[in-house]
Amino acid sequence: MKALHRSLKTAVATAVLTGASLTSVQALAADYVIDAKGAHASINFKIKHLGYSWLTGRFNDFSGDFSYDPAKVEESKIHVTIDTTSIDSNHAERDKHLRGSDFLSVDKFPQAKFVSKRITNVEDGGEEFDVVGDLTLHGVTKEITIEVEKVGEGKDPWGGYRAGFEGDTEIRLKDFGIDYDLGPASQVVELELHVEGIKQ
Amino acid sequence: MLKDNARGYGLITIIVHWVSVLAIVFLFGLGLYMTSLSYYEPWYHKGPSLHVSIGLLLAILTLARLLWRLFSRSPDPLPNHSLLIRFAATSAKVVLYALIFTVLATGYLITTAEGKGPDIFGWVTFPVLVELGADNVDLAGEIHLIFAWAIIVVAALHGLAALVHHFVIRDKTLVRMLKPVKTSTDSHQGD
Repeated sequence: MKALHRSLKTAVATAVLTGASLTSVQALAADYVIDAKGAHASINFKIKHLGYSWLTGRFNDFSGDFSYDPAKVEESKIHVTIDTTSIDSNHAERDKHLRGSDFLSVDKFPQAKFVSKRITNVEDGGEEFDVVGDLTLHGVTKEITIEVEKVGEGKDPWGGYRAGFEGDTEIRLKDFGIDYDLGPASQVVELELHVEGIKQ
Repeated sequence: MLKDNARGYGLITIIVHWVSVLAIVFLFGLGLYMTSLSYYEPWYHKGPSLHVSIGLLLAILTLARLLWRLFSRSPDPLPNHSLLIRFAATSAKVVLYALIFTVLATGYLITTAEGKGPDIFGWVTFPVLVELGADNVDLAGEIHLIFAWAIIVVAALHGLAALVHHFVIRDKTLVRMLKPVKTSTDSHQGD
């Protein structure tokens, strides 16, 4: 009986400790869900057209979440999944072409994703930093660096708490196995990310 | 002369038939050619815009043709044609009409997916009736290509059958689609 009592006590203590440590992990970095539903986030791209102008477009459907604590910026994490079929450059035939085998091959690769690995170059008291992570696009996974700038954070008028960032990066299409020839001026796509997260 | 009657086709049916043949073969060739072009070819933009314009003209012609067919008396089958031949000929025609209609419809749907109507050489812009989502546009594209090939195959059989009727069976099948029927009650059968 005594033995049982002792083991019960241990079990309860373990459970309490485990629970406590779990909550403390959660308290360390706030978890945010990207407000894609309210469209307070966008994934835009631009690429030079012939070298004479910019062609811009975006991905309409994506989802993701991130953790961010202004006191521990280097522990931030972000994870985004993009529906590649949602590419939109405001031109039906071009978008059809972009979804096809010359570019995104969306039937084979319906998703692209970005998973962060580490945060570097934290500057300006955590307002600016680089997110290094793996981008999987067109079935190819490659490490990229996104330069991020915090836009702001605080309470929203509806009882929630939000934090928002903007990020820039560029990728060479060839690096991801997309080698349709758009000409020498159009090898690199610039990605512009606007992310607003709602604290969970 | 203009209208069809029991003995054969009139000029309108004959002209519409052969104009459709030319348009379909041209659209098929142009479609394959333009989708194979790389970005820096001169026809990269000209090809699709010509394809869409001719396609829309063919769509108007085909709708008019179906109405015309509805209100015209179809010529009687030639007396030497067996039931099997009549069945084969009619099936080929029905299948061709269905395929042509589907290819025209899917072509139109590909262009309207993002709310902008296609135009005929910049003269007339067609209204947008449906905006398909990405998956359905891609499906429409696949149907457009496969059915276009099917049109060519069935039309080739249809044409081959006409040649067999002309050169082997030696009846008036092909001549009826070349020479307008006389309007008079003249029952002369030869030509």
